[in-house]
Amino acid sequence: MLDTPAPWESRVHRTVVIGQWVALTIGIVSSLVQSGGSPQSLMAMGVAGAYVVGTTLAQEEWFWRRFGVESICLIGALMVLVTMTLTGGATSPYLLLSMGPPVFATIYGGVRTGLATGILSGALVTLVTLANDSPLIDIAPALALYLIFVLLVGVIRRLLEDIHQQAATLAEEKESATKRLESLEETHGALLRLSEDMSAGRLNAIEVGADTLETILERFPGSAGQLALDGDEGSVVLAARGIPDEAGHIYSLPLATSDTTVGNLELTTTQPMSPSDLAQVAAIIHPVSVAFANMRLLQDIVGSAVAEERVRLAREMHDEIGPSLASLGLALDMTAMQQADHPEVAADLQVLRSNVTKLVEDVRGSVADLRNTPGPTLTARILQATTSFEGGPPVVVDLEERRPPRPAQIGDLTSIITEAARNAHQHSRATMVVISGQIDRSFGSCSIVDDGAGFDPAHEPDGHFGLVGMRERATKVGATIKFDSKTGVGTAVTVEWGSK
Amino acid sequence: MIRVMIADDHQLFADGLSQALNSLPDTRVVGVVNSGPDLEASLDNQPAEVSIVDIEMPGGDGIEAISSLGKKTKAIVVSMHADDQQRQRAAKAGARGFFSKGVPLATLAAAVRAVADGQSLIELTDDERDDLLETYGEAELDPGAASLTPREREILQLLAVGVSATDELADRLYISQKTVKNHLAAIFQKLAVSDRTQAAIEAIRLGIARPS
Repeated sequence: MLDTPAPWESRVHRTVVIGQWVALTIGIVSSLVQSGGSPQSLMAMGVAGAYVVGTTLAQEEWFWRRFGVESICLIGALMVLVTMTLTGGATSPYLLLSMGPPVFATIYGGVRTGLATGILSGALVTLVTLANDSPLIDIAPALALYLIFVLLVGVIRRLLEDIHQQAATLAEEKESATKRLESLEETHGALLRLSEDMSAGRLNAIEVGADTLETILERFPGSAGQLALDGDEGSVVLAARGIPDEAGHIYSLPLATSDTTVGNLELTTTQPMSPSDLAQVAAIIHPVSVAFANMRLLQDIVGSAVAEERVRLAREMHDEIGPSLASLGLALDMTAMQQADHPEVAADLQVLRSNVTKLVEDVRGSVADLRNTPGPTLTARILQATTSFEGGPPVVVDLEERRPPRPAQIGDLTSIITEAARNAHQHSRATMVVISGQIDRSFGSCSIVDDGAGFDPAHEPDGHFGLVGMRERATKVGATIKFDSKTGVGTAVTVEWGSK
Repeated sequence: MIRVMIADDHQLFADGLSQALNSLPDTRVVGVVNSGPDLEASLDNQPAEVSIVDIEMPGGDGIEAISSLGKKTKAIVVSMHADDQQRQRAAKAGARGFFSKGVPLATLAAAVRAVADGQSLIELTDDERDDLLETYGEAELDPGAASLTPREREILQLLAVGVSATDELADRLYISQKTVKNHLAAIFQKLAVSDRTQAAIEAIRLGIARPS
């Protein structure tokens, strides 16, 4: 028996009810024709009518209750038996109506219940026939009809049940296919965006990470996530969206290809994720993982090529260009000495010699730059240093850095500027500190300005604020440092090095 | 006369430096080598009071070579790697001076004289070093070379490339053979040489001419 009524059962139920009304009409008409309006005939009519009205009014759910169909069919079989006993037993005009209970039993209880009800009805009819001393042959049509109806309805029921089962299975498969389709569409969407980014030259890790994370979080409302790439110096967060719910469900999924793991996706969802959900997320992040792995590979290749080229350039400049220029300088020195009798010529040669000396020094600096691994820019170093300042006024860094200072200078310049900014931040009682300036490798100018208390330049607070150390560092890297301050107005520290 | 050995793998620079030092009256380059190990071996055959040594050379680091020289010579490092770290290494190895290859000839010549005189410049600040070098004089050409006229220099340059016959020199310079002979006599006297071959060698040594 099915747990819940199927649509076909309601339709069959109504059909059987209508059939019973037809059988009742036939029985009444036939009974009136055979016996006129005898009391027994009228009583049978009443009982049969009561049975048909009862089954018509009975709610379908009553049949589904425990022993519901058995109870209804037993009562029905007894009522029909009374009707048939009153109207001639096995040859009663209500014979067709007596098919009702077995049919109902078959519909709601299956072939076995139907057969049991049919056998019960047949047995009762047989008893009545024997009690009336009628020939047993009279019950043959009744038994045959019970058997035929029960089997016929049983077969129909089985067919309808199979159809219903197939429909349910198809519906489930359709739902599952729809979900898979949605998942594929989302994956396709993510890949499409990845492809568009690649075509537009926007394939950078941060944009790809953000797109991927947003695509995933759209599927899980209320969830939060973080996508991170493994770097040489630990994990680097590319994108983070949402605020993780402390009571949420946390999932950590690796960003992995077949042979390497490039990062990690951490999701916090409000509801537990099903295996299907996890599979969908994995389907979305897999191509992204491959893209990240390829990007990293490309970066390695480019980085290696750049490093090799830097070494080659450095070697060439060191071994060829620099010494050749130096040799030219010595030749100019000799020529200038030979032209001692011609001061104007010697002076021109000296100018030329100075330019050659500057060229040699530039080459030497470039060789040192090329042999040093490029580190963070001056702006990045100052930003990193100033963000560690706690409390106090905001520190605004507004530097236009075309090329970072030379490696030999950048450390000391960072220290000087950071020290000046720290003094302004901690001691000036300013509302804001601004670091601005322009930098282009060998030359630069940087000002650290605050609107704080300032000091009297005639009484420079050397001993307290590291001004001596700043000056020493400046001298070391060929820079100049200047302090402009006015009490109550503020202080401007200017660091300059090199010249254009 | 200060005897100088040069250790530098860049031939053009080594030749230029050699000619420049040879053109001075008080310095004479006794050898040019292009590796650290060769420097020590050459000093055994050709002693030199001062050695000018590059850092990066094939077959070994110049500073390492200096540390093994002991008292054989006084070393001055002249390199493209003129940074504090290398300066400290050179000082630790026993070098007396440390200069970039862009150093002017006058400064280098004064440094050679100072180091030959027992001074050490490598621990001095730039100002202290410049003050000390001032006391070792300006570089000036050998007196003989300084007194050569432009025409005499032209003749020396031709001799250095193999043009030595009187008629050929006369044809090249559009002057008479007698005038050529007069110029040659003056050259022999100023450079204190007795023939055209010695004059050509001296011209190359002084940096007046380059060999063919």
